[in-house]
Amino acid sequence: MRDCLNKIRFYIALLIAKLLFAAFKILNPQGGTSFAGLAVLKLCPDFLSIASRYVKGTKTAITGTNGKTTTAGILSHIFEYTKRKIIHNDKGANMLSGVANAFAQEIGLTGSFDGCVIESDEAYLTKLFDYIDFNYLIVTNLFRDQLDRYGELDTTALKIQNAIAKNGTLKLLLNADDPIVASFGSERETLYYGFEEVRYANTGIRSNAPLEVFGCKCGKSLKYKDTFYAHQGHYYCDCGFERPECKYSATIEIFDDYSELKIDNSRYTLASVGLYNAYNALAAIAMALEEGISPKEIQQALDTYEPVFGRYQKCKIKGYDAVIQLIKNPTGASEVLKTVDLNSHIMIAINDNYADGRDVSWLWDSDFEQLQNVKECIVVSGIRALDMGLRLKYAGINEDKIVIMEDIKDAVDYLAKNLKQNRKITILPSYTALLELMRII
Amino acid sequence: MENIKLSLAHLYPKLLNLYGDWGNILALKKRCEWRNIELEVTEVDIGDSVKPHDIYFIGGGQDKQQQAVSEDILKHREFFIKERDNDKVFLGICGGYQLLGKYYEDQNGNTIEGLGLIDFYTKGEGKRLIGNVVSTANFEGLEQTLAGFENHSGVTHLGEGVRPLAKIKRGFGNDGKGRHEGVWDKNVFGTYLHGSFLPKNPKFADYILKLALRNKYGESFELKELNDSLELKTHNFLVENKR
Repeated sequence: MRDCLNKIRFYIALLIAKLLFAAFKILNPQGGTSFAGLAVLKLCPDFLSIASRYVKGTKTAITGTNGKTTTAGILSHIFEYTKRKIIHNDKGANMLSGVANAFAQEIGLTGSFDGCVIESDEAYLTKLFDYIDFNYLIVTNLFRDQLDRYGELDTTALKIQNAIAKNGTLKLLLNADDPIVASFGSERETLYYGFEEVRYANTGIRSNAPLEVFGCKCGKSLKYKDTFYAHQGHYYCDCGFERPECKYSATIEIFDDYSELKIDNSRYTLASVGLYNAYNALAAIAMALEEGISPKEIQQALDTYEPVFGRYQKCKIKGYDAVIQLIKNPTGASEVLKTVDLNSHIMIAINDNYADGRDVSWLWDSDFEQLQNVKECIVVSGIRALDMGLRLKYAGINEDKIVIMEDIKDAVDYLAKNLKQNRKITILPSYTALLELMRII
Repeated sequence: MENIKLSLAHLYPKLLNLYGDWGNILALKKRCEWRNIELEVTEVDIGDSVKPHDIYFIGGGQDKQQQAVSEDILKHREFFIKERDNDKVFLGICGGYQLLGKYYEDQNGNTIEGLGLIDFYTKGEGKRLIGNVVSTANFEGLEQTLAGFENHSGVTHLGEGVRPLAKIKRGFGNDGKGRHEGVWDKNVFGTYLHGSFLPKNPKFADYILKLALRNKYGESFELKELNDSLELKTHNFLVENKR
């Protein structure tokens, strides 16, 4: 009886969601909100558990500090390329309402799906696991993100562990090179991916970002045979804890505008830059291989993959070539800064809304020193433009080269107006600054 | 003219480095560099010996890291007490601030012992106190604003007659009640403010540099003025905008 009532609520919620989507389409064609998702969850709290029954194949969840959206984007693209019908919260809306939104959008009264690829905010994973029994969980990495929201990194790790404990049949696919992530796999069936070797074709780029050192469970500081970036690498401890052996073990050579990745005897060419993007691709490829997709099909899918908005996205701004790269925490920003073209006209837009993190301290932990040899002025923008400008001053950039323009639209106009011939634009926005930018360009 | 030199010990940077603490070291370094003063920074990690320095900086970390640091730093307690009495400058931020006091008791009742350079203690409470802070402090004979961002669940209780660093204008502060922020005794300073703190509070950064320089080179030592217009604009943004 209860189940029957629930079903009725489910169908009513779904119907209302469909009406809302139709209304949004007329009122605001560009809008991508989770409003319908919020509504269905209010009308039918069990919405996600009923909705997930429409998925007959593999259900994959992805969490971690950085790379969730890109990893989920690549993986769902590979699935779709190989003709699988899937549900994916592709807008990066990764709280419960965003997930509900994606399900409400895709499912109809009949029909089923071959899988779902759901990225989840670390803090909301436990709740998500209350409703959906996933088959796989991919954890990309754990860095300091918006600590003012989550408290501390150990708290975030504990939240993910609590989620994992809820699902007895869940298989884990973990980044072996991240000691915090790898430690999640100690008590159940776990597959690991990681890099055996990382080579930079252009050896000039090396960050001097302070190396983060984490303690082993035994209390001692971890030691490293090799560090790739931040705390990612080949670590070990005298107590015996060490980087686990990988099922999907890769080598990577990173060039200025592409990367060559090799797993076993298969080679993959990635159009993305930087090691952090290679990690995302590796996670997605490992999951695709796990699902039995051939390396050849994976490569074909990678060749047709278009990056998610703001994640090394190439576009035109007022007719000029531009690259937009989201920055949101120290590790991610330092990695992105390694890839910035110092001959380009650079704009950095920093907001401090809730979704950006209210505390802008992270700017001081990010390696903006890498911009010291910039050729043109740097335009700083957003609510905390001044903080960003000050950071650049202390990074050793001459104050004459720092242009402060709080309004993001004004900053984009200024950039386009003052652009020298044959120069490109690089924009590094924080999360809500990216959303603003999306509306402007 | 002889080379003016200062030395700073950055205590446990590998474990206590949350929330832009590195920006504080950078601010001191640059503000010295711009005046042709050499600031030598030495990192002190667990197991290292500590030699005398002009300034000691200790940042914030997570509870687990703070526990590990506490065990090590207590081995140097006598040394640090002597340095305090030599009028050396100490700046502790957030977790580092808590370690300057007598102890920190977390929510589970575990106690992390501190150096006890000043009479105060901290207790972990359930609520995290998060947000921008504007406060006023009296230094160099003037009432001056301090601005930053606080993020702590520890509530700090100052001992009888112990002076806070500043009066809160906006924010939670030591005890979460929006009264006082930080601590100050001799040349030992503790605060919950991140942001980073020193880059956007240039007058306070210069004040502690001056204390260290006067301690070393005599009371008449003066600092050259710098162009702080960007620093002050950033400072005033927080003071004036109620974010």
